[in-house]
Parts: sequence; structure tokens; C-alpha cells
Amino acid sequence: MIITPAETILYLGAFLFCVGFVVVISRRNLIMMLIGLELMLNAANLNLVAFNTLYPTSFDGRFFILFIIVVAVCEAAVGIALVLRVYHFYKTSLPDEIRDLKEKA
Amino acid sequence: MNAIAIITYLFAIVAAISAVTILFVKEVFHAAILLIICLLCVAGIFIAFNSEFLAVVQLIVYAGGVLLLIIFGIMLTVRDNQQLLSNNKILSALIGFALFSVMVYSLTELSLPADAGNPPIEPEKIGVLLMTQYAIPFELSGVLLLVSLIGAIMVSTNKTQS
Repeated sequence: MIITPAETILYLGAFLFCVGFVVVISRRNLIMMLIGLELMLNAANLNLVAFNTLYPTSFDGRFFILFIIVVAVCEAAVGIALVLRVYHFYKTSLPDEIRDLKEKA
Repeated sequence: MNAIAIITYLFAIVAAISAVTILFVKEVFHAAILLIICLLCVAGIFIAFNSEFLAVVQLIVYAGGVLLLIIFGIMLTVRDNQQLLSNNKILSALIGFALFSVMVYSLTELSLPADAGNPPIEPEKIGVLLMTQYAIPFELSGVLLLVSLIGAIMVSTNKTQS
């Protein structure tokens, strides 16, 4: 069975999405969770490139990727700012130890 | 087998290997480097599918911006001797494998035409399309960038000092 390049990157996209999901749910670190999120967003980009080959006259899929990249960068910037703030407040970057909403008296 | 197929398979293999290695590395810094290897392979796949502009955007944004942010975050927050994996790694691996099997099953039902490919697109046409057909999402993404910039500054500034 020979799979075409478009189908190859569909499978790669599914694989990267699952790996990113497992990274998000199994790693005990806020930065690792951000890395997993970036992987999942790129898996979506791969899907859009693959399905754009079905419509050779349209550019919609590839322009959508451009806007997904913009959203990913915004998410990374706000995410890192939140991680720094949380680390400054709780002195930890492990999500399991972040339980209090308020400073202890 | 043509050149595009070979390039795609090669980059896909490297991207998959580097993504899996993220699951097993001990240090967060190594994971960030592996993430960038994976994203650069995705940029190579974009080139193979006639989307050179997207590949360059991916290079500039991820290798220049996101990697810098992540390494900056690692150096400011992560200490040594942290236990990185959670206790229920078997459960999370099972969930991921189940998700992957569902996706692969639905992909085997699908058949893409073998000969179709993306048409090449010139940078001049990208500029014209961004200002005409895709003007609204373009302006909205500008607003989103501005808002997230202000939000990041607001969040990271310590208000109690003023």
C-alpha cells in the first residue's frame, strides 16, 4: 500500500496532535504544557495544508494557517507572562501545587 | 517516487521522531530544542507543498519568537531536580493511543486524490489577497496581537510596587 504525500502529512498531523495532547496531560510543568500546545496547533496546520490539495484553485487553507500562527504566537506570549506571574506568586512551576487563589494569611 | 514525496517522507519521519522524544526527555530545555526541530520539519513540509511563504513565516515566528519566549521562560522558572512526569503516565499514554487510533481509523476511510497538489502562490498575490479577500481576518489578527501584547504586559507587571 502506497500512501501519497498528502495522506502522509494527515497521519503525521494526527500523530503530532496525540503526542502534544499526551505532553499536555502527563508532564508536570507549565512550560512543557505550552510546548504541547504548540505541537497541537502545528498538527492543525498540517491538516489544513493536506486538505488544501483537494481544492487547487483556492488559497483558503493556507491563509488560515497564517492566522493560526498569529493566534499561536499570542497564546505563547500571554502564556509565558502568566507562567512568570504564577511562578513569582507561588514560587513553583508545577501545576499540581498551585491550589490557592489567595495568599495565605 | 518524485522529489516532493521523498522530501515529505523524510521531514515527516524526523518530525515524528523528535515529537516522540519530547515525551521522554528529562530536561525542559531539551524539549524546547526538540520542539523547534519538529517545527522546522513542518516548515520543510510546507515548502514541499508549494507554500514557501508559510515556511518562511514559520521559521521567523517559531525559531525567532516562540523559541526565544520558551527558553526565556525556562531560564526564569525551572529549577533542577524536578520530577517532570506525572504519576499516571500509563493512563495518559493510553488516552493518547486511543485518540490516535480513532484518528487513524477515520483517516483510512478517506481517500485523497494522488495527483492533486497545491498551486504555487507568489508573495505579490499574497499581499493583494490579504488586503482584499482576507482583509477582515487580517485586521482582526492585528487587533488580537495588540490586545495580547497589552495583556501580557498587564499580567507580568507587579502592581503592588506602584
